[in-house]
Amino acid sequence: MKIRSWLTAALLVAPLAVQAGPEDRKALFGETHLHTNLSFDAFIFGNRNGPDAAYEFAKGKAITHPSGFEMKMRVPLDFQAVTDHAMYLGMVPAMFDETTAVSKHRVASGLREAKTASARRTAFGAMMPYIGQLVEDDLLDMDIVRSTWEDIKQSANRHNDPGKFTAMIGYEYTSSQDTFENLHRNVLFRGDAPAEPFSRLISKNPENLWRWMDSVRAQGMDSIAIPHNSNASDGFMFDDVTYDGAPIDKAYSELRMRNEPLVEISQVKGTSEVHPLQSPNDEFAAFEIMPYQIATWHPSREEGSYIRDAYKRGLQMQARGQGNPYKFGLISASDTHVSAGAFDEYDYWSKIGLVDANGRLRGSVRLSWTQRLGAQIFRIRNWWIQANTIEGAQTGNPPKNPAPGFLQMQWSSWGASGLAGVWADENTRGSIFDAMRRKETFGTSGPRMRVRMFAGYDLPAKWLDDAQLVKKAYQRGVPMGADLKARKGQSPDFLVWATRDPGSAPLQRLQIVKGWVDGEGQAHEKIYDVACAGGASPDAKTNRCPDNNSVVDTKTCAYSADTGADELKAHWRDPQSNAGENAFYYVRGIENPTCRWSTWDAIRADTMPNPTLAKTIQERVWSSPIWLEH
Amino acid sequence: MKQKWVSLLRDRLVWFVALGLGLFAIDYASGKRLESRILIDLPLVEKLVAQWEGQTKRRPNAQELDALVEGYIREEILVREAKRLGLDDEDVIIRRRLAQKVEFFLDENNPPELPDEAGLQQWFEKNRASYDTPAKLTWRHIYASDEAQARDLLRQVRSGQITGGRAQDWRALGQPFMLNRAYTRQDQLEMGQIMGADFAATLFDAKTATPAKGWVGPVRSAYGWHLVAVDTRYETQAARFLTIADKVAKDWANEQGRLAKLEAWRELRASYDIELVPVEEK
Repeated sequence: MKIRSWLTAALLVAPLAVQAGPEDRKALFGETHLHTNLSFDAFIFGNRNGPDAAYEFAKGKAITHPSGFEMKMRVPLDFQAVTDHAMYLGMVPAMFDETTAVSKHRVASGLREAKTASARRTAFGAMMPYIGQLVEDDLLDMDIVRSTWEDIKQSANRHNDPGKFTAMIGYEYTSSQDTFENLHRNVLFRGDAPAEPFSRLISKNPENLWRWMDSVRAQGMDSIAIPHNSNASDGFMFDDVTYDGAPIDKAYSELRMRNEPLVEISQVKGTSEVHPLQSPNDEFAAFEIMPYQIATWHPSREEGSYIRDAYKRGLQMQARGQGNPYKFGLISASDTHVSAGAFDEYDYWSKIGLVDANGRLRGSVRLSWTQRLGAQIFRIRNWWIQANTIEGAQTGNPPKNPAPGFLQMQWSSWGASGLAGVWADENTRGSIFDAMRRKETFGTSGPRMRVRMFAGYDLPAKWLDDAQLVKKAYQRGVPMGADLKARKGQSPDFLVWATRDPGSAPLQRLQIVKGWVDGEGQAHEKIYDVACAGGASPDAKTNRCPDNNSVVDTKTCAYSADTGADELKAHWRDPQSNAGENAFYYVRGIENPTCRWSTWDAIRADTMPNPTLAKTIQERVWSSPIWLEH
Repeated sequence: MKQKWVSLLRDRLVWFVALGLGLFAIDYASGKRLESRILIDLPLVEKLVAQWEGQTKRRPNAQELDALVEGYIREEILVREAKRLGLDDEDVIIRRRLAQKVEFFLDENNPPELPDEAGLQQWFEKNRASYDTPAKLTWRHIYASDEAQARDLLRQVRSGQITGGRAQDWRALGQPFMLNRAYTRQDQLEMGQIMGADFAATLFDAKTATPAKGWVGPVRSAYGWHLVAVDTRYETQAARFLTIADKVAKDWANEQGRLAKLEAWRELRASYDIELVPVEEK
């Protein structure tokens, strides 16, 4: 009897005591880009939630939006980093505290008194010449910055709960070219961080940030930087030259890749994968495009601003012996400024607090005639500001409003995105950071889809149905984010696999996006549908899945429940792999269409949706690429 | 008699009172002058010096003291002028401050007397759901792409084709699964968030899955069909009042405070008539 119960106990414990290998890696979901009230702009937008509140939100607690409603996650996150702007960190809250010296600064009273959305925008504008270093800076108090940074680190340490919830230390390095061409990146630390963050006030040149990160790493504090909103960089994020306009060389490429293994592909301010003008044959390219430079109405040049283009440029530079500075993996994050990311279309609160708190302010709900009059006055006032002030010249003016019944704002082109996914050994700072370094990551446009990809030679299709798929694939192949060494005369095999978010629409198709450079140095791309909902096969000529007839009723937002897949898997062999051609391959998994947030706003307000905004959206997940190296 | 008057006149206190009355009379007669008077007395100066020390960590010298006092006078005059012009009425900051202060009053309810232990326990029983530790399962599963495959697998495991002795075997069965194949001490909410609420409800229904039953199923999740084995079932752990009485008392007081504030606010709001002026849509 005794022996039998011992045996039973051993049997029960045994399955839990298996030695962990890479096949036991878990997909963890998280947030790597979030602003609290300690960011100068977030405070102006009315945010009063500090880092502690942000971490509580990530763990599933409800916190309050500046306009009073509750924000709560559908499912709590596994990890999060608070990343406030390093420049003027904690300074605006200090200006509101009337016992401090900075509260007497000439921009302080304007900030304190801003009450309406437009006054807040104006107050934000008054800070801009300082951020842009266009006026002499008598605003900065480094003691405040350092003590605020210390508070942020302590908050992360308080909330870090290894195995359950990881709170990472981080900040945003908010750099730009001379007129706000966005070069922002988030710096995340593996563990502890130095006493002072490296901000744009020290140098706007990201190369100096990377050198600082190198030096801090030498002191035992590892970090990575994740650029974001390349879409708003006017071509500067993935340029052909360095910040100073010098040609890119191997040393630059190595410096960059050592410090920037990942890039944000999607976030609230649009998606940076690809612009439809660059890839006219990609029917899914026109997705959540945000065409402006940050905080302005200036259009952002497409060339050098989007990721697929950057991957191709990187291969071309490599072929010319400059190294590949653009061999980065992918991740998504929200960039919320209300301490809480909005990831669901049907529960969207955008990101700039009182400035875009409701449908009218976001341009998704029709204005009353009095509001229209107000909007006209604001427009005229804007013209005046543009002509007469420094900050006005910086921001520029909107194009003609194509939908006069609605407010025209940059944030109409923003969206409920995005979520970070990492394949980590465990839920700890070290494991998550290491997964980011390996680029074994993915990004989604909000929902919790999971994606995996392996590449190798002689990966059989039957493994797709083998319960040991992952173990075998790690043994014979490489996971996403890695390099695959080319084998002579053989085409690489790929195993790709994605699952849906149980709380969102089912999957429609799984695609492999391939890019390569030929012998003449020309870059090419091709998109292959590799798995289709309902077990259909892609057309052999077009490489596309047949239409799965999924529809959305934009009056109720109900969508087809009977078409679409809970899971899609495929084995794929590149039919066009030529000797000597380096290539990249990444997965894009696409959901059935659902209502976009702007349609939900209009339904709730019982008005017609803004005709110039997309009514539906096909949420998606992007994996980090695998690079084929010769 | 006369002597008494003289002694009264000699008494300093009497003089002091008389002088005071006189000053009062003069002030009363010219109210305006009282308004334009700014009193700088020792307590005020001490307060100014204390503020200065707080910021600079040293005492002010004579010159700085003068400047402090002059600064105070300036501020006082400007404030009085502002009030005279009615500027305080529309000022956002002032309004917010005033509102904040009243908010504090609303918060400052006298803490109600704690009920006796029996009363507190009664309140605890009413709210015990938030104190109990929810039921949890440690479980494993085999994933199948469809129901038929799942039933087939179930037959195999039940007929002993798969040996139970080697703990690894079950991991090699069925289809690969993107999420974990074993979970430890998971409550129903967590399971529902990962696998779908229906799946979690089925598993937590003790009739479906218990350690004694071994592999059961197939159970439908958000991803497909599963065979499930519950290894350990941790029943809901009833919280014991005596071990958490302090926390219950604190929660009770917080709850009473919240209710009292809500009540005070309702009363306050009820004493106002709110008129909504409709805006016409074109």
